[in-house]
Amino acid sequence: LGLDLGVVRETEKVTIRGKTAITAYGETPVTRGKKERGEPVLSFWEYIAWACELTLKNGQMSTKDFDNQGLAVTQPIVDHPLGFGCEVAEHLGISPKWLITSSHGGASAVVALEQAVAAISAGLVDRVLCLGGDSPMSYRPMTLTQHRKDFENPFGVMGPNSSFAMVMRKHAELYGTKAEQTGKIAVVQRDHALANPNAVFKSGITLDDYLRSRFIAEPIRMLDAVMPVNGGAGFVVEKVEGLKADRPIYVLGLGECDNYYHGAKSLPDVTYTGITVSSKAALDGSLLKPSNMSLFEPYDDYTIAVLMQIEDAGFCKKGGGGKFVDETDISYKGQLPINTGGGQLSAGQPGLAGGFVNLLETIRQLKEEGGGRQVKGARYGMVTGLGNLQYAKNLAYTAVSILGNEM
Amino acid sequence: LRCSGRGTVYSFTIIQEVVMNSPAFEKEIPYALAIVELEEGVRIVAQVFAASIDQVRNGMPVEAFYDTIDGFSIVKFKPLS
Repeated sequence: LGLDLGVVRETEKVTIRGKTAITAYGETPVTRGKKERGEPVLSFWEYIAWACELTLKNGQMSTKDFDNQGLAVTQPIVDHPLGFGCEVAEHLGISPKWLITSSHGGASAVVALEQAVAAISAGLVDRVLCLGGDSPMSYRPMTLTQHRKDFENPFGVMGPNSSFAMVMRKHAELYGTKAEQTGKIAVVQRDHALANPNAVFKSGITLDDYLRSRFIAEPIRMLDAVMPVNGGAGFVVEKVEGLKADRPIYVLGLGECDNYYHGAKSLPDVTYTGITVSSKAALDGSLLKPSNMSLFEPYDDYTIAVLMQIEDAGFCKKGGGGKFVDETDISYKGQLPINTGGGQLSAGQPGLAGGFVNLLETIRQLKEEGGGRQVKGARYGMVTGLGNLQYAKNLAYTAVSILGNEM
Repeated sequence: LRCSGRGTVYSFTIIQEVVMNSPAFEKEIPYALAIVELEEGVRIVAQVFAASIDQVRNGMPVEAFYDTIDGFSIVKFKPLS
């Protein structure tokens, strides 16, 4: 019939582009929660409530705006009841008609955004308030995965440090990735953190500091690994049609890929993440390419995770991440600014609300509210979320969103 | 599936610090911890004890043995003899 099936397939992928926008965001101060230093010790409930207050204030909204609308709450790592979602609604005095709880580890913030966008795009609600908070420094953590309890801890595995260390060594073996390359990521992100008033680290580091920092699970050094903090954050997603908001940040593309295998199911290649699939879906849906991105805010629990996502999101070919980092200015002034607020590595990881750090920095940059670390002329940004580690393979959850301050 | 106990090191780390685990591992630090690919085509994560920790390499052939830590019998690996 003369139909170009290629074109049909392309447009089928474009389902949510520009239908929703982020209209408010808020982030609490983070802390190591050391009482003896006079730092506050708050529960995850209190951080969620504080994040709610800041987010609503930012958007000049009230909790009433979310009665009969959407509420999304991300799951904390610290001990919490199974019914935490509706308890948060009760604490805030909101009666939503669409309650989302995302439990995708560090990917939960981006997944909350995805589910909010899906609900709005389906016409179920007009707006969703997305909140997360966690206090891993002060409260008992829950078990992230059953295999960690049954098949890792008894055999001498030291949590994600061990798992990412084995991924990092494999990446070095296959592609020749060097410590100086992951080191550059740590150093640049720390520089960015110095321009972020809410970063937990307040002093810069050099490549020498990185190379001299002690191994905790070789090849993972102290400065390769994230610093946990207590904190909370939130944002509001709204329907674009009829929207009256100052500088909305449009959601242009979304993608998710969970329990990804690269290669044989029992013997997958651990140097690949599900970002290969989720970033492609997000890019296809947004009608944009990696080269269109003004900034990249990859989830960063480890430096090697950043490097692998540069590859998996298509900024270079697989194995070329080290060379890419060597040859590219990844600072906020550079060709591809990466984790411009310091990322979680240098700003701190508020437990399973950690994914908000990368997401809120993307929003902040696109609203041109990045202060001393503002990317000039920022237009489109890609943010990712990663969550949990599977047994002897790679990540459990991956999610990608592409945002823009114009369509 | 009955396993021969033989396999190769897919990747490994040298554990220098006990994090979120039993203090019983303190006395074994530093030690190599590996993803071992068994001959039967499945993976297992376990410690690898060689005469010297520097001998552990990706691709190294290993075989299983049993040891006790903290009152539990667990599987570990050593270089294939």
